[in-house]
Amino acid sequence: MSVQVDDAEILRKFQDEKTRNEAFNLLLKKYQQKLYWHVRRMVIDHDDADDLIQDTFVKVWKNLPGFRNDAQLYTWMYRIATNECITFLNKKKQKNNIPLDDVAYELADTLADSTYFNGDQAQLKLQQAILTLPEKQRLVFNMKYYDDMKYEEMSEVLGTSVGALKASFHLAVKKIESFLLSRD
Amino acid sequence: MNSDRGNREWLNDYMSLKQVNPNNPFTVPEGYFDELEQQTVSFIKLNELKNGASPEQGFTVPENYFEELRSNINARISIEDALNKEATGLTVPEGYFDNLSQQIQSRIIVGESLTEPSEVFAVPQDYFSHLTENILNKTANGQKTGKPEIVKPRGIVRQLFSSSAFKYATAACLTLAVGATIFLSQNSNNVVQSHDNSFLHKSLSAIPVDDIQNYLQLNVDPTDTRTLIDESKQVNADNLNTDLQDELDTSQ
Repeated sequence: MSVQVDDAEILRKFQDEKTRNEAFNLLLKKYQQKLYWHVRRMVIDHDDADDLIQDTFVKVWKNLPGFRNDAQLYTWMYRIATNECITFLNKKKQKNNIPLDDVAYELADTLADSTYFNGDQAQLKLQQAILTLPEKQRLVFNMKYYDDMKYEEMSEVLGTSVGALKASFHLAVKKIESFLLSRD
Repeated sequence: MNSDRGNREWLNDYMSLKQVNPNNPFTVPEGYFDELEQQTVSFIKLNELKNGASPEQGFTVPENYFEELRSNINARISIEDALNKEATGLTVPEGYFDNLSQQIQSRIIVGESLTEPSEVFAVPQDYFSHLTENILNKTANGQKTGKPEIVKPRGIVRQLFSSSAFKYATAACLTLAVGATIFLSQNSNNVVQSHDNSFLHKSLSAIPVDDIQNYLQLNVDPTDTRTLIDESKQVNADNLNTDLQDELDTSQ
């Protein structure tokens, strides 16, 4: 198991032009999978997630020189990835000229047809339940349920207060529970 | 991915959700994360090249191209609209353009067949252009230049008859022909002459022709001709004058 480098070290190396590429490679090694799964749970399809994660790191590369250390590096990158997902889903709605709710149905179909999903029926059902949630609630639930992020971190990512996030999360959980019970 | 469970006591309030396997159900292609790092770096570099380089990417356009582009596009759109419109009011029969190509091709084929020379014979290439020169070379030019003529070997001519015998035979035939002609002409003259000297001719020549015609019309039956011929007798010249005078007397 490789020893992950501290974020401060990465940032220091990145500031030096000679070691910038090395720092970025370290950054990729440390965070690429975490960010990928976050994106993947939002857009469901692997190819879409692949495109978005690369777009995310391009922005990281461009904007990292201006990173002011007023937030955690991971939180900052997580926000970039989240915005990329939201932008992507909004474009999907506009491109296909479909209502907001129908995007969820389209993603659910993608999930059902996906070759890169090996969960059991319960897990499939859970994903279908999550897709019934609005985008912000989906984000909150995923960040809490899968990434176990603290509400403060979630607040930094989403720009929402901790209280609103807690309320949003519990509301999301209730909806999912209701969905799971109704389809039993 | 195994998430850091942390404080998950809240799940106790949601049994259905708690029963779901919390492990990540999503998968990725084999080796994806091993390549992701390199792919991301490459993607970033490409992005830099695309954005960092000049917008033209080394390509150039003619001067004032973009200033004129808009007006050119509008003009072209106007032209195409005008062409597509039926403003002229001119129309064509239905399916005209569909058959036009075939009609043109058929007409070309017909035209080519009509203009084709009827002569089925052919000559070597450039034959006529060299023909005059060839003739002159063989004739006038050949004599002038003293070129030796090409003498064709003469064929052997064989005479059917010997020249002397043939001459005598020809002479004999001519003589015979001339003699026969003279003899026949004399005979014909004698006949005529004898007729002219005959009593009948002399007697009848004295009578006017109109009288003879009138007599024959009144007294001679067409059936008499055959009788006269069949019973033709030798004319007795001595009695002829007497008989004729008697006939004339009785007819008056």
